[in-house]
Amino acid sequence: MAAAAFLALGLWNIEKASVEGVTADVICRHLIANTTEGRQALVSSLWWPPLALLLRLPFAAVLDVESGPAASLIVSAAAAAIALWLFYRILADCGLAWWKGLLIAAGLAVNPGFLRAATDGSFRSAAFCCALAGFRGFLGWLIRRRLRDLICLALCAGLMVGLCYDMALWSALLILLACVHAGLPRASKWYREAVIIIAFFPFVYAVGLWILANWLIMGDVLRLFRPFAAIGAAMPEYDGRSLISPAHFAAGVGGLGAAVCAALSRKMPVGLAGVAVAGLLGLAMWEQRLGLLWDESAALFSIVPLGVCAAVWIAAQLRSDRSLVRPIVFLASLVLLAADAMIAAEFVRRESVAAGEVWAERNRELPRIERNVLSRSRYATVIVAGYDGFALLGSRPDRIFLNAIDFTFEKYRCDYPGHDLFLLIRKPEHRSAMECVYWRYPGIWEQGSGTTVYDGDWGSWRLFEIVQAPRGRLRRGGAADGGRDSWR
Amino acid sequence: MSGDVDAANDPLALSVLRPEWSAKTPVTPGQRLFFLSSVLVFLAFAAWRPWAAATVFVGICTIFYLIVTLYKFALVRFSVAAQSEIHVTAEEAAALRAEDLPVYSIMVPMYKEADSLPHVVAAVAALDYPDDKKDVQLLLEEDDEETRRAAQATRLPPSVRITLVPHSFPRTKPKACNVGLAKARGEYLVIYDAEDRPEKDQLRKAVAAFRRVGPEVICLQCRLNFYNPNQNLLTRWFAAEYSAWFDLSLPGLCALGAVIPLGGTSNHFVTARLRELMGWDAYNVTEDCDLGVRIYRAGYASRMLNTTTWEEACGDLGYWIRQRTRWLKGYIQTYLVHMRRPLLLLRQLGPANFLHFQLLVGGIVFSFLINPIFWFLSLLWFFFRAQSLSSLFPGLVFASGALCLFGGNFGFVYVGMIACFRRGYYDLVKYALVAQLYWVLMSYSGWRAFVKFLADPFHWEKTRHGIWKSS
Repeated sequence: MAAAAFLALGLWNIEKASVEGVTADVICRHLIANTTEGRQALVSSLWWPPLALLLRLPFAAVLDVESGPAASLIVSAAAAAIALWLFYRILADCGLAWWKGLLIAAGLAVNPGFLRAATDGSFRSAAFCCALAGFRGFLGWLIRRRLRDLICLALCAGLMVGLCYDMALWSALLILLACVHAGLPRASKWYREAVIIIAFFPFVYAVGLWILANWLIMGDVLRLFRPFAAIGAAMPEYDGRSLISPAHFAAGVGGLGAAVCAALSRKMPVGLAGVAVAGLLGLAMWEQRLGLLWDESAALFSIVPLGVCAAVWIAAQLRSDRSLVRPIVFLASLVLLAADAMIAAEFVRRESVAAGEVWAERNRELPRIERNVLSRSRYATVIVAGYDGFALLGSRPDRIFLNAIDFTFEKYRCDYPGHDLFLLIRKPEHRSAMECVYWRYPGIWEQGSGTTVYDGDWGSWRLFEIVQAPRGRLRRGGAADGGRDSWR
Repeated sequence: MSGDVDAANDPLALSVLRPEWSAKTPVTPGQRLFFLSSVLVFLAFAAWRPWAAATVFVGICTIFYLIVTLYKFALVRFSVAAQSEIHVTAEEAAALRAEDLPVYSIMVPMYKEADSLPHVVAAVAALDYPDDKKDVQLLLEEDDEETRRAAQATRLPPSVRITLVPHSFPRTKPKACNVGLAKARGEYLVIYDAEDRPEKDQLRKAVAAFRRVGPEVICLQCRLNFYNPNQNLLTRWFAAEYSAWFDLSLPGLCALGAVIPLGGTSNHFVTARLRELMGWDAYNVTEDCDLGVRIYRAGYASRMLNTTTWEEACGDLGYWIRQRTRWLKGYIQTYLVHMRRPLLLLRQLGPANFLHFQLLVGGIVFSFLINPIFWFLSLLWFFFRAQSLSSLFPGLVFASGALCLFGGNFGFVYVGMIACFRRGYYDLVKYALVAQLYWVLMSYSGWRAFVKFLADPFHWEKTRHGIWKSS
């Protein structure tokens, strides 16, 4: 029912769907059509994880993408509903009365950030759902040391690799903590070894698989990690504004406090649960420091709910103080969720681009760009570099506009001899700054490159004309320098 | 001729009175016609449109892989259900009063295993069951002078007797078991191999379980595992496989109420019902699996019981391959016997069990046979980037194939690890990581079984036991 409600809300407000959702749906269309761009888009970016895309594939196969990001809306609504249920289950497992659990879950459900994630087709709700399932397994393992819980945690960590890279790092932390817990003095060496292998295998396998896919499809084993080399240069306008709110700090620092108290009182499971929540805050702060934290971060989105789960769970473990601690934690959880909801409302209000704006841009700018380039040449081809190009172009086949995930000047010069080539790129902010065109040609947005001539700005896009070599020279140069740009 | 057969005493009664249930005729003329015509049609198609034929073949195999993969994971999931096996506690078993216990027949077929005799006697004596209610038969072949002499020289307990199996064709374990069945005196009956070490309270648990279940349950399968898993790499893999099969897959089947392909030993039966089914098929080299299916076809059922019998894992590669060849050859026999009249089988088993049968018996052999083909294609793709292969995997076939390759293989390895962990074989978990080499051996055995089935369907490739002790 919750999923249906979220879906109805998403469809009713489809103009507010996330660009992420729109892009994912278009990539699915490409995958169904078995295009090279689709395959490349599936595996080549940490910010567009493959499992998040594949989850949408079956729905995209039967739904018409042109009517909106329906597949993405379905996935995010279903994931949000499951996440709510998991959230309630964790609270119920801690022995919280059903009405208290429902009240806290309702506090999460009405959070504008959660509602937005549930109804905008973004990747966040799926990542959050997986995080909750993994966290539930983690808490279960800490208290019961049951194999089932360890498997749940390990599989969620493996899935998380394909859903959200930063939360995958956090999942790796959970696994590490679970292994620390398994290394208690009484455990045998073989037992510890087995726990480590079972816990880490899905995670390592998923990472390995992704790298293998990069080698097979992109021809570059390290492709996934290349954007990190150009983080600073690629995002000149990252303002470092604080996205980490007091509610996030409260949850994370609360976790840290619990860990310290647990260390003092030698209650290891409680301490590890506290470290897990504090680790999420630490992860968000690290991302912020690197310039990788922006509005859509799943890590940021998950801190408060996971912190609430951990707090309720810790309270349940402190049995001797149950009568005092539990009501306090319950009230504190409600207060924390309410604070987070208010802060999230502010974030949602000032959040940047939605699907409606991209569609408007598509309808407004694309015809103008088309007229512009056709006025210059009958054989004009505009290469729209990066994932943003999928949302801009949609899935319609086009004679002039082309998506390009693995953009190099040489490749397109060779592939389109005799064409007048143009390059259209989006402003390098947030994850757009991680596009291959920016780490391969740093500074291209401001200064262009040696082979491009600035043509003009069209909304948030910038058009360059790619300077073409005379045919004979291109052929000789291409052969002589092994495909490198001979004019640079 | 069938009028001369004594159903109760003739070890070959099944093949005479119910030939349609026996593997005496490995392939019926109808089946031969069906297979030959299918092969001819496919070859003609391949000659006319080779690439299209290959694409169809790949598509069928990929769908099969997908179904088998999902099926096996579902079994693992169901194995953790509460009703996955009959759980009898040690206290419940111990609480049974000696005077209330029925006579229990224990049959130990032996062939050229004189060295194992003291072990058999000790293992039987160790069973926590009143001696006067144990009816133990050592089933010795008439021409096995060595074991017979050893048995005569050994001071056997009063509850143990020797039953000679007449020298005749076919010389198989099921025929020996049928001879023993005719002379069994117990209300219940169990088969052990010579090197088996059942848990001490296994018979008591079986009695308690039989009293708990309904009359339709006539067989209890105990878990099997090995007492020598760390002998070498092969036994480690073998132990991981057995742990996955007996601790995860079979309990999963049990939870679904599905047909259970019985393991070779530690099957506990209601003797009267087993006689009703005319015992084992003397011509089937995996008679246990066949009997497991016949139990369901006759309207009865089997269940798993929470007790383990420890066996010796075959640690010699040559003997392991021969053992596996026999098992897989028996699976082929069993599949063909029961698929003689598919519609009748469907009616008798019901759609769900019919599907279980297809996947468990036919599917296992088929997967071993086609695995090498797909490994070869994968290697071609990975290392030589043979682009023409892409056309063999159109659209959804590619997606399914990729899912099976990356998800399925991960899952099978992971299930092996989980099984080792659950069994307490913590040191074996890492060996499950390289189980792919073990799969190669299984596929080799699968092809060997296929060839042997065509050449010599009834030959019993004896597994040599005692290698571990001697080494």
